[in-house]
Amino acid sequence: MAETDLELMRRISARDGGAFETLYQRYAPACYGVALRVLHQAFLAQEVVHDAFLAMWNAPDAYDPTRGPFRSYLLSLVHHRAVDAVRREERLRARERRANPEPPAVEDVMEAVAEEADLADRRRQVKEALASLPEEQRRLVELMYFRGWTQSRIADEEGIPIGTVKSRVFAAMRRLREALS
Amino acid sequence: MSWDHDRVEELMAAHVLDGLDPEDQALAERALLEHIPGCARCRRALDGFRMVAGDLALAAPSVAPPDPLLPRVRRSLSPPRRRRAWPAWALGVGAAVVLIGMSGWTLSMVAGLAGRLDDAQRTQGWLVDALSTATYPSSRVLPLEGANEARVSVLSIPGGEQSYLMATNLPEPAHAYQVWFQGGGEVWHAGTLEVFHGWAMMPVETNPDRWETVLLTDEPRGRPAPRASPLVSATVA
Repeated sequence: MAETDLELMRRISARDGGAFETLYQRYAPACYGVALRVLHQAFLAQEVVHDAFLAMWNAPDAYDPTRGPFRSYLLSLVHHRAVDAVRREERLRARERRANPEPPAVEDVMEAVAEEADLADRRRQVKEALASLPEEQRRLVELMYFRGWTQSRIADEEGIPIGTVKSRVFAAMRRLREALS
Repeated sequence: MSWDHDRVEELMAAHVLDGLDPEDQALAERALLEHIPGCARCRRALDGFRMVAGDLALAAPSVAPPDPLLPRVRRSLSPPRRRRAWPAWALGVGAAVVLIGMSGWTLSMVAGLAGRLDDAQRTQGWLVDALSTATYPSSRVLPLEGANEARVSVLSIPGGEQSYLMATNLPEPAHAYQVWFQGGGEVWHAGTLEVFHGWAMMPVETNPDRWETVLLTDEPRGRPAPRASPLVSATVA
């Protein structure tokens, strides 16, 4: 039977490289998938995944198993770094656009991979929960999560009051929490 | 300050999605410090939102990372080894010459690959990573300038956390070459640049875009901030 994430994390705390590689094989495709979805650039996505796994190796105790599953912790780590990177990239692109109006090439490499049954089940649940949200809530969550937009940017771009953005995101997150708990 | 649980919960819902604007983010961080540790209700709410935020990543399709990523991660996991001086291991046979054409000038790197296999492998790893960085379409070269023959550049990718400092035509230092990054009132000593026959390279764990200036000085190790005038420097645009 496969070792649990928690068992592997305990071994990583004891500096076991084999446990690290098992977790890498288990989660790297999901991590790379979300990084690529946010960044749309393979190199930047690799940087983000590299840095997140390195952070996990360097500070395994940062994961507190009483606060939730390891999977969510690691994916949050990757997502957070991807959003930071996409915002930096956008600032740089804006600077570049002022100097050179030619738009940069955007990569979008998509190659679905097989994954363990538990992760595939969870993926299905997440997609169903997201699809069950009212369209106006789902869209705002996706803009925030996958494009890295802040609440005020969403309000500006979508032409809706910021208070509405806040309340829709809050309502969506409550529904998702309920559906996924 | 008294905290309203619903307001804290609303802040946390957007905080875990990285969607708060700076003012609300500051408020959320304050709540995380002042309120949430002592409030079981808000702590539970936050844990639930964190789980959602992590798992939302699964709404994106899984994609196999490129094969070279795992070896690169493995190299990064290796505990840092004490570096031997370049001349000691570089006196043997063999050399790798890497020519990288950048911004109108050519940088040649010579690394002697004898003696310790560890050192040679690590240097090769740097060279491969630096080449990979240099050939990436949006790679950036930040030239450091000064009143001398030295050619020094920092190679990076926007958003990346790993850069490479490369140098050629470096005169023998009186003490040692120190690499510094400065910005926002902070000074960071990135390391000591070890020179071999005028050539040098080192990986730097930052992106120049995070800083305002990059400096290379010739001075003794161990100083908290540069005191010598820079041999070369650059202002990050």
